[in-house]
Amino acid sequence: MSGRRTLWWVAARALIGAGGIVGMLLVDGGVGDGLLFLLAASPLLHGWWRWQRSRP
Amino acid sequence: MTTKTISTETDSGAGAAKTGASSRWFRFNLWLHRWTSLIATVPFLVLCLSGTVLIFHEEIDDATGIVPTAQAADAPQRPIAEGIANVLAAHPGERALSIGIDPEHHPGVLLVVTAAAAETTFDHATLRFADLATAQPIGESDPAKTLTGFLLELHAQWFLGPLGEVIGALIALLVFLSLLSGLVVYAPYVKRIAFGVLRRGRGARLLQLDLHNFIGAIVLGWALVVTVTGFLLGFSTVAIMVWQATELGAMRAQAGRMAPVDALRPPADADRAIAAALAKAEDGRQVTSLIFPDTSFSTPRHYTVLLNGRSGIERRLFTAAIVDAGSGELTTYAEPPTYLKAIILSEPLHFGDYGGLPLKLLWTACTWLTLFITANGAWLWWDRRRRRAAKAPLEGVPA
Repeated sequence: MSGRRTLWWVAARALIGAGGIVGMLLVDGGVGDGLLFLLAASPLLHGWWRWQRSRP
Repeated sequence: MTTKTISTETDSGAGAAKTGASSRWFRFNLWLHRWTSLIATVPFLVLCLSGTVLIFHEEIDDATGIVPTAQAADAPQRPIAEGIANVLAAHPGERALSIGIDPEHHPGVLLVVTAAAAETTFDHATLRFADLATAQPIGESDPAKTLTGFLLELHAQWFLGPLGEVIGALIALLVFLSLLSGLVVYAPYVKRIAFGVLRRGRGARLLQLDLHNFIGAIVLGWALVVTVTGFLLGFSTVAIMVWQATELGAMRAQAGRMAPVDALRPPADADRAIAAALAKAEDGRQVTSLIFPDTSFSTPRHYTVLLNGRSGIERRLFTAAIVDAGSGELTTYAEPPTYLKAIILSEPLHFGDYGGLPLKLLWTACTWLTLFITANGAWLWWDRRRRRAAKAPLEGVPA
């Protein structure tokens, strides 16, 4: 992935995470809440996955 | 600031010029990122540590028994006015400033906020509790003397009152600028070092720099939400003062033309005021708070009744019903102004206490990761200075 695309992806992932956080406040319980939590946690989960892949 | 400095900071080396690391815009953002972060480092570390505990304030308050438990939460309730009267009878010389009902977290419990009879503000208030089923007092609490109350005062006000809130907003602004400038500084870096790559075995500095950029990119979205809401919360007292001077001020001026009521024993009791507010309530809203006449949040003639929804965003946003304490009739039913709504919604988004334990754990993880990059960013700055200081005498020696 090119540097510019990576940067856009970083910004998009931050927005997706923030969107999940705000969305959870708007939605109350149910499946939607769970999906929004996954969105909120997605930057962390993606980071974890990349970190695992980069380990020697 | 020299290009050499930038190359060291971003470790883009010879690629710096190609990737834009030598541009004036980049250098300005590097300067901004460095100094906003360094100025905010120590207070931000305090905020992260106190904030971590405050994420779990509900669990801590429950464990320490700050709010007593009702014996029979589902039992039929006695009139609320009876519970208030019994609490005041146990504490002669006091008045009720407000009451609170929270069926979700504290079922069957009536919160009565009291103060000396002459008081109209909540500055020296005491929290007392009554059982809604028996209307009998069941305990009391001083929020300033609890662990979470102490930490909240540190976190939100730095023990400086409203001035401390504005200082908190200033810290949030510094962190916000640090995040945005950090993204600009990150751009040339990410063009050379792929996301998630940690250069191990090439010295502590490169590894710490990679960790700083990697973790910073991970927590960016969360950190933006928390800093923007932290900034807004810093102006909560100011916003309330604006509301008191404008909307409430207009109602007070109107009420000033009417005969005041005895605020200690209003002719229309709390139950009548609640019934009047509920008669107008929409969408299953429920009364969460009632403020007695002649306080800083009501007129000398009226009750202020706050009603909240039962789910989603409506659970957080209140509607205010202004009820005549003389006749028991509803005078006004209004939503708060937009600036107050923004501040009300900022609180859950700042503390992450609206999504149960999973969201609290996510908040804790992000707080600790942010804590780490704050400390390691300061170390990167200190290490660069140390290296330059060690290098400077050698540069003066002729070859």
